[in-house]
Amino acid sequence: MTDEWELRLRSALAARAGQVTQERLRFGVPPTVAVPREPSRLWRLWRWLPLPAGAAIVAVALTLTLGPRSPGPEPIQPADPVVTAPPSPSTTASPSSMATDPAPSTSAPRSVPATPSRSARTKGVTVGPGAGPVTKPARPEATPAG
Amino acid sequence: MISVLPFPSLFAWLRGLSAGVRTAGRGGPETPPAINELYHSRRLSMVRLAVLMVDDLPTAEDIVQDVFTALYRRHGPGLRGVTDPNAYLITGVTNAARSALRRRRTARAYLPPSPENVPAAEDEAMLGVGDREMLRALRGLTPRQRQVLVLRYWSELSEAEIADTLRVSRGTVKSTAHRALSILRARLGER
Repeated sequence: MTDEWELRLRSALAARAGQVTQERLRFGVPPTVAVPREPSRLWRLWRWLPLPAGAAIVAVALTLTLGPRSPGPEPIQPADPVVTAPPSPSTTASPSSMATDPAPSTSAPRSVPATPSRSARTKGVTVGPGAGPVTKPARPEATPAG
Repeated sequence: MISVLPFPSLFAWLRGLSAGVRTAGRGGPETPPAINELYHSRRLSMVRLAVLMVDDLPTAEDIVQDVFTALYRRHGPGLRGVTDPNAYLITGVTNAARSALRRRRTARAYLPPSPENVPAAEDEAMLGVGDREMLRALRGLTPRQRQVLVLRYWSELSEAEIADTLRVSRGTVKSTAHRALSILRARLGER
């Protein structure tokens, strides 16, 4: 029974397909003629992708190869020898004022020089503007006794 | 070592890129005519297959032309990477026909059926009565049932090949064919 139905179906399909002949078809244009094949816009973008990717890989590799090595523990410097110097009783300018006053100054230093005693005279030398704000440390001058 | 590794692939990519540029720039008559040979040898049978699925000739021709165009665009004139062009065409025509039938069914819900979607009167007249009834009953099946029957009884594909073409299991093909034949039998009567 099924074979008969299958035969009928085959016969009907073949009859319908047989009605389509080459002469009834439209003029066929092969796709190579009908459609100029151009790469899609997406493909045009994608095919350049390896360029920046390769550059990035090379950059990373070079960075890893030639880059700065990780800093190790710094060697411990030997401690400076302790020099016991006689205490200087007075200076004309305190170190803080020297450090915080970079402008050349022709006037007297802002900080008031310390005077150890009334008998001691400070002798501060302030150099001119061409030499910069270097102030020589004053040395106390001993007053001769009597 | 790390910095050397990417270079062979980069060189290969550059070679491929330059080859692609050469091929795209050349084009025209020097391209291998594999797609054209396939077009001339298989177009008629593909249009017949499409006609059996969608009924009318203009739609069938459009479907086949679209499938060949897609094949050319994706795989080039040399059909690069296509192992079985015939299977590719059958699958493409089947899918496109199903889409066309689906669109037609959707449009039928809103518009009256257009006269070009049925076979021409002379075509009907050329058929025998039995064939005409059978084709009319075939038109009442779902697209999937119709495809299975056409592929089975006209393209002479096996169940496994139909399953590959439609991307369904063999069991689905078998049950769909059985169900479709039962419907045909019920509509035409046990004559």
